[in-house]
Amino acid sequence: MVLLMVPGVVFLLAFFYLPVLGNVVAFQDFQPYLGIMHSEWNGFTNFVNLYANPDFWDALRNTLILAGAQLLLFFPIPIGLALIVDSLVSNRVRRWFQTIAYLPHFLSWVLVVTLFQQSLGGAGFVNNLLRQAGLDPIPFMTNPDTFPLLVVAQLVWKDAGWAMIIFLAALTTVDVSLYEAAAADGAGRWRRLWHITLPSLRTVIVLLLILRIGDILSVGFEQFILQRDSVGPGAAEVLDTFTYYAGVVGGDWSSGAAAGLAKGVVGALLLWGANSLAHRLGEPGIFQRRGSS
Amino acid sequence: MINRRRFLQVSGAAVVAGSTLAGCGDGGTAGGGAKASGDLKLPTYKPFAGLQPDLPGAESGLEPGFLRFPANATASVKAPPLKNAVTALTETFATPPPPMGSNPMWQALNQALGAELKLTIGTDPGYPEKFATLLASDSLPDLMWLPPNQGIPNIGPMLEAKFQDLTKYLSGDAVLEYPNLAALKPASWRTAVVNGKIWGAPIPSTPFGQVMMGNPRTWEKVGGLQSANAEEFFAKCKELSNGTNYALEPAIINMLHMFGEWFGAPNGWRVNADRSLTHLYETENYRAAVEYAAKLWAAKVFYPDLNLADATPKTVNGQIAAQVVVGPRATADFRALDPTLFVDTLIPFGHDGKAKPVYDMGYGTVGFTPFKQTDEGRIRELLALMDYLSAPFGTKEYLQKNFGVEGQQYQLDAQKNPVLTKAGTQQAPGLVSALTIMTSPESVIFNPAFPDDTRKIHATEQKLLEFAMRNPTAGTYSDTSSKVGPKLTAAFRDTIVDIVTGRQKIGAYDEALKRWKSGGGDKMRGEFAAVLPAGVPVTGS
Amino acid sequence: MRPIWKESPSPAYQAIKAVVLGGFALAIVVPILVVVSTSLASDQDIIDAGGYVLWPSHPTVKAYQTLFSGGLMGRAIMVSVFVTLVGTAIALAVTIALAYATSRPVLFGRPVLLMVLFTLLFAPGIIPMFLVVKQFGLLDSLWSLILPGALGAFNFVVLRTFFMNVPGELLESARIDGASDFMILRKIIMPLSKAVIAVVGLFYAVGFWNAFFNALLYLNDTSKWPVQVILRTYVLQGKSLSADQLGVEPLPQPQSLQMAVVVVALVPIAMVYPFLQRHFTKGVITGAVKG
Repeated sequence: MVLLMVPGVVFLLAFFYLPVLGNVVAFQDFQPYLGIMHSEWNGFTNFVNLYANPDFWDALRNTLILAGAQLLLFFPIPIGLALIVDSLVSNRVRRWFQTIAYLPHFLSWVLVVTLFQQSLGGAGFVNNLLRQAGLDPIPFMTNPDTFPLLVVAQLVWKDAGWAMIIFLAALTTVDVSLYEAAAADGAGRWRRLWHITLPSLRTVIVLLLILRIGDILSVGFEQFILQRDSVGPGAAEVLDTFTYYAGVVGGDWSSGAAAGLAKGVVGALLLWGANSLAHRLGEPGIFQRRGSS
Repeated sequence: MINRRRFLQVSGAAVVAGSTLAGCGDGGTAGGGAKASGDLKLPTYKPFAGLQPDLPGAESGLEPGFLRFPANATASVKAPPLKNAVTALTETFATPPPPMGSNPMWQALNQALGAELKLTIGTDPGYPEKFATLLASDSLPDLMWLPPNQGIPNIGPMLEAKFQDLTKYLSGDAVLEYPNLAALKPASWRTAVVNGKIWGAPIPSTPFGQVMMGNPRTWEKVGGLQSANAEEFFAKCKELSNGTNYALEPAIINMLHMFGEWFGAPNGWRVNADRSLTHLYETENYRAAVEYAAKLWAAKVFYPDLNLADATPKTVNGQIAAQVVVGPRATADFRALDPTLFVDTLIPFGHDGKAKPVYDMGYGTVGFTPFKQTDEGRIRELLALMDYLSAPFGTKEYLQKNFGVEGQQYQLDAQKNPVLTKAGTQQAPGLVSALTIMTSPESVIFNPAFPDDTRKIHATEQKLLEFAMRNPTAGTYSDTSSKVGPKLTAAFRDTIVDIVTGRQKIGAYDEALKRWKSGGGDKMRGEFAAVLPAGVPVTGS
Repeated sequence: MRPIWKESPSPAYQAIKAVVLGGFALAIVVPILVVVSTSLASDQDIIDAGGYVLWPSHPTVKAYQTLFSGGLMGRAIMVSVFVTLVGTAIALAVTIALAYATSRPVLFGRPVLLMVLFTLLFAPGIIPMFLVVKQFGLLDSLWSLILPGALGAFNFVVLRTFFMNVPGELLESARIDGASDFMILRKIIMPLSKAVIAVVGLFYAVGFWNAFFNALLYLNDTSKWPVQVILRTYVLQGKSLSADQLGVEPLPQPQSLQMAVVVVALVPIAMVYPFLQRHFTKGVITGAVKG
């Protein structure tokens, strides 16, 4: 067993743990031309600055709002889709639908946002129709108040089909004989769904939820940087774009690293919290207490 | 199509957005080290004598025009510059070229140079990351293009730590040993001066700033793009916008820049009579321009998708009537899409028809290319290389660098202008873009297939120059501006866009201005005022 | 074939299913059709349509010709295919081994699991990552695109969870029969987890296929650039040719070039899917899994 771990652990040490030590620059006034060895140490200055920066808090607030919207509105959709697809009898229809549903995942955000703009933008298809009908155009793409909904709609379009794939894989592990037995006992469609199908997905659903919660402060980078200017940073600045503007555009690598560390710590707390909650509900979660298997 | 570059431009230090090459031109971070620069002797200016332009250039910034490519290109360099291979970091704004091994044009250039020129070619996005990683890795290439506006901070200490002071090889008459470098103007050289030392050869680009260009076929319906006052322009825009077609490209900040010129807003800073400075954002003129823009927005004359990245095709097909681009030479971008179209360039006018407008000149360079620290022999070799690659328009070296070898990458058309062959169009663009972003001669106007365009552009430039204003702080350095300037500008612009598009009231302007001042604006003013060169005139005099 | 235990659904339920799936598919197909059509549209089509084309009236493959001229793209596709295949194989092997080992209560299981979870939360910076890749001598080598991506924490967690669901009794009996851990993994665990291994393999493949940023940083030799890097530069190309090069025959409209780029990036990976499909058969472990 230990032998099977060796390659993975070596990879982790070499390509994660070694470079991740570089995050000590968060405690420096790091300058690339000086390197880590010669840059000046400045303690918690970068974190203090972050704490005092109202833009950081705005970005955090936006991130949480958007993540909440994604969790509530996006997360259930792939599960529903997977259940419907799984119930399809015709293999041909199944395969067609799956192939189509996966495609948008491979389109870049640049293109997805462009396509949305072509249809919903100020000069887009829908608004042109409204104008021709003598109605006022609706600012789908530029209204900061409805921006979370827009973001979720884009996410559903791009990734709901793709996210379904994991649930479909989980459904393949359901024991068909259970269905047969249930049907023989006279259990109808809904009871089978409730008592056999959903329980078999539960572990995966909980697992993905925990992972998502631990990663909740990453709501996506490109999707937001592309729309930041048309909606305004008041609604569309998120932690990742904030970090990018500070760290790369502004050349302030240390502040970027500090924001990244802060994000990681929050993520760790959330991950731990979500995992504990899962244990209380009797699920294995992703990390087990000592002694349980 | 939205591309990320646009967002970098809008939010970064650059005032200029538009054509990619010139889009890098107007930077805030490259410093001038004004304290020490008083003692520094800039390289002696000795224009290239071998060639007479058809339309003369001038000290004012007017670019010389060539109606056709000079016959019998002369050599400007005596011997191949290199003995040993050279490595360089640069960026291409075109598709990356085929690699050296399978690129005959690159190989021919190496042959002419005397040794291999190994380019590490960055692309956009990703250049600042590439630059920083190489810098931190301690395996610097011999040459590294230093862009002025991609967020590379603390240029001064960085140069001192890692790069070569070239002052003694270039200052004063020393530069005459490299005639093509001596043909670069003092205004360009100022870019490459930091802490009173010269760090590399500058990369000149057009000295003109943004202009508004309009499709004449569209504007014909309302009597043309040229207007007498802001009211007239407003009325024309309104007439041209009907729900499917729109008057203006939705690049708010750039459009605002144009309106500001009509309202007499200064180029960056205003120099008051007592030689104190007032920032653009603090002037009533700019505020008035913001209100004017908000009025235009409310009248629905802007194309309604703020996200539109490249308005050029829409201007060509008439969906948008006018857009903002860099410099009068940009007419060629429209010709490239529609060879029958020569777009009109708006000449600024006073907002009320009486006041004198201004025209903001650009930065004039796209940064400079410093050398890795090395010994004198190698420095001379690298300088000879820069000399070769900076050869002026019309020389043999220019042809070699931009067009390759006759009969292979280019051939001469009926007017004896070089035109890329099919092989050339594959091998040249990526390579030429990478080379010209790190080395360039002074700019010229040249439209091979359309000599008349060259005449018209030359005339437009003269008209613009009547109102020309330069940023009084150009070539000087402020620590605060280098550190927080880009961030402050971005935050202020966010508010302005909110105001123009009706998301916030004009009252937010004062709030944002207060934040700009306390966040570092006042400090910048002090620093710039302290080093304001005596030669800079009081604004408006 | 309808399983015997499945009754024929009611028409109403049938209709709802059709509407949901049909609507979803349509919302995807129409934009994708626009992408493909625009990539095939002539300049005139694009100007007439004002940007994007639903159906080209003068189809042309000019955009694709431009894309593939110069041989850069052909080479890049080879590079991408190599990186994707080799990368996915290595990543799957490493991840499966580690996931299996930690899915059972074993020595070091917990600390190793923690080690992996930690990577979910923190990210190494660009500069230190570059220095490490350089120290290992991987600069300008395709391995710099493969090795750093060989263990994805998300994929690991998913695999491990599925492995944990394989009942311990199965493994115990195999062990009593004298099978080694490696044998158990190959003969019992992997066959039972085909579907999820296929999914994780696809996740890895897509990751390798789409990656571009590492290539920008680690590869200076443009002949080693993968497809995505080239594609991105084409997307940005729009009007990058300067006035000096106006003699060049005009490029296709930027839209059609960009859309051709999208299609080129899309097709290879979409072709992989049918091969994975056959692993999606239900009830593989009949009688073996607890409800």
